[in-house]
Amino acid sequence: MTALFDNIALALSTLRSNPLRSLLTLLGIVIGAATVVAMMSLTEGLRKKVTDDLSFLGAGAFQVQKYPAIGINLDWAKYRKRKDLTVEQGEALREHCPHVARVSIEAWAGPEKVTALGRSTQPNISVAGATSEFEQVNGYAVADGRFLSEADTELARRVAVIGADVADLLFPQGGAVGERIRIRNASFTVIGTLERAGSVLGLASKDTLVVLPMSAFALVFGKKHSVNLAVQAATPEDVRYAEDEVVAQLRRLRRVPDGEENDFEIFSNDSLTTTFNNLAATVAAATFGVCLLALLVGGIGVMNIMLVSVVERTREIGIRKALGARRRRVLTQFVIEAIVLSLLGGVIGVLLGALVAVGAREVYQVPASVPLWAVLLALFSASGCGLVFGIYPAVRASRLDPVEAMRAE
Amino acid sequence: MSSEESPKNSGRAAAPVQPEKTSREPSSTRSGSAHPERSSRGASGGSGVEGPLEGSVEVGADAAPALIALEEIRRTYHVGGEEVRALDGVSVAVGRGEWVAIVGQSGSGKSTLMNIVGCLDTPTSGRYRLNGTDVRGLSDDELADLRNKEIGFVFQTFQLLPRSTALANVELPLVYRGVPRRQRRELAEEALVRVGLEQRMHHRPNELSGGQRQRVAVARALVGRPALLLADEPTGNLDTATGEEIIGLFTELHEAGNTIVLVTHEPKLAARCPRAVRLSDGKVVADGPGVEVASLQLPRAVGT
Ligand SMILES: Nc1ncnc2c1ncn2[C@@H]1O[C@H](COP(=O)(O)OP(=O)(O)OP(=O)(O)O)[C@@H](O)[C@H]1O
Ligand SMILES: [Mg+2]
Repeated sequence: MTALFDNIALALSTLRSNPLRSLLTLLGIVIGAATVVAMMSLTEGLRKKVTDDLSFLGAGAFQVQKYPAIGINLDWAKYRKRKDLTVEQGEALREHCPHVARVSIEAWAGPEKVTALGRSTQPNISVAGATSEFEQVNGYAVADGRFLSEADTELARRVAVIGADVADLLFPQGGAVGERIRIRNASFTVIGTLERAGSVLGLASKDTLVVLPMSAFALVFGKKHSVNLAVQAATPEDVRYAEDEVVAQLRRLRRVPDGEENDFEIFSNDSLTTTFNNLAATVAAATFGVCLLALLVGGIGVMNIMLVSVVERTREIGIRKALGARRRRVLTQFVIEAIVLSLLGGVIGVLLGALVAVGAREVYQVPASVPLWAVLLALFSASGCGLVFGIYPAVRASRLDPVEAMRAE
Repeated sequence: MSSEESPKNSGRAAAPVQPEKTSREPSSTRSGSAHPERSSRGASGGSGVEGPLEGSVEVGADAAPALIALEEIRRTYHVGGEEVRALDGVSVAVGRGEWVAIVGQSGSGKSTLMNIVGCLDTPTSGRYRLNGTDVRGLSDDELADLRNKEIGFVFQTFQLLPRSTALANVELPLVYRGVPRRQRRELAEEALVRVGLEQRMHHRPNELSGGQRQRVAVARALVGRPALLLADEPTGNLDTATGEEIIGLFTELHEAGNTIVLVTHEPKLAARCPRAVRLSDGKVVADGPGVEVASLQLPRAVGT
């Protein structure tokens, strides 16, 4: 125990005697550790937020659409060839699926520019053609006025419900309800505004939308649209049955032969979260690869500096051996020195990485939080690096002949 | 510097350094008890300046085996294809409790011999038994332990750790002996007080004078209370008074039963040692009572 403390104290004193060189040597390890912590913090933050954000479907709801929601390397041609999902199919689901409570049939267009009273939004507004179910199934709530009614749809009324961002931009003084807005030269009367709903991962805002009755939407954007079907089960526990029923019904309606895969995409909050987590894990693994590379470079730096150190301190080693230091003692002295050096780099890297994570949180609104395991992983990898790359120089030191070593300058 | 040191010296002389030993008068014992013993042995051998083998046989004939038994030790270096015989067949035996001076011209092999005796170096050929064990059979670690526990070495070039304080330097042998922190600090302080460096404990070697460094080296050799003390010119950089203090310390150790081998260039110092061995070109050319070996070679040493 005394020996361990002695060795650590010794290691620290050597670091202090050459701080700049030590710091430069550690750059690789600092970068490696910083990357681990920063990336892990970011993905961990995203992972937490994703569970909230991807719940843009209401509770117990799932979505059916022609194209997948997220994914990598998608074969878009394959999806384009699929038959459109139609309003009629959506209505059939309402009729024939016992565990389905509501189906929101939605057509989406945009991004569009929306204007009112000489004010204009950026051309980034999504326009939905929808029915009265839209509000509930998508988890929105009305702030002012009312949502679309069935009558609005049936009568093709030229009315609109606008998202919080749209309302703020076009009617900064409030009082949007009753005012008129224009989309592609068509004019609509605002009947309601929506409560702020936030964004998906700080990227896609859920408040930059305008909801029109399906019939009015068709007047502006045409009828040739594949619709999305947001389906809500009677209770959250019924989701599985509801999904089975919807799949069976749609396959029948769309005449998908047995044994062939669905010609539509069906996903829920959970499946989206899973998909995202897989994605995040891939990114994390790739990042860790980069970190290992940085640590490798850092480790070679450590080995280099330790070899230099052994040469510089040949005389010291000779003296220590002459006074009775065993081989193993000299070996551990230098290995511990390498570990302490690397660990120091690890600590600096962790602090730096945490700083980056906090910076990202402030600047990009990513809820980065530094997970303890990432800190431990970084420190562990750094000291492991010191151990591995410190052994060779330490062995060299421990093998020195005392008389020759003491003769060195 | 000596004026600055003198009050401390007198203070130190008053205090007994090794409380457990019965303190005899250092000046009287140096020539009183130790010397006659050696002289009588020298007289039985004949002229007093003898061949090395004769001397070793004599010590070997004692009841206990010699502490240091060197037989036909050779140490050759190869420098650029040329062979340098630093030691060329040295046979010397040193009994337990002896005090032997090694003298000889520069390059005669004194330090090489000390390194071998101190288990730092191994001979090219020949046999070295320390306390009856052939060191050739010992492992690296066993030799390290031996150096640590049994041998105190004052190196000719001090060999202090440049970045450590005097105190840390003196603590070093105890560090490798596993002595707990506080205890080794106390022992190191005690040793530094003994060599008169109580005011310089926290100075680094480059903040010390040559003589002070030498005293740190002596303190480091003494701190572990080794049975065998090897000192390569321990008074080389010291003024007479300080050198005398160091020799006083050695005398005390000698009286306490420690074995001392000391390299010196000073004939006066060699003359005061009970026994002296003279090396020349790696060979033992004289081995006998200090006075005789020192005086015999004095004219030649002056001549060259
Ligand atoms: N490492 C070495 N390589 C080559 N030759 C060496 C080495 N060490 C010592 N020698 C040679 O061995 C001989 C004896 O050297 P040594 O150091 O023992 O002399 P010394 O008696 O201690 O001299 P001094 O009184 O000057 O200290 C010298 O001729 C020296 O050149
Ligand atoms: Mg020498």
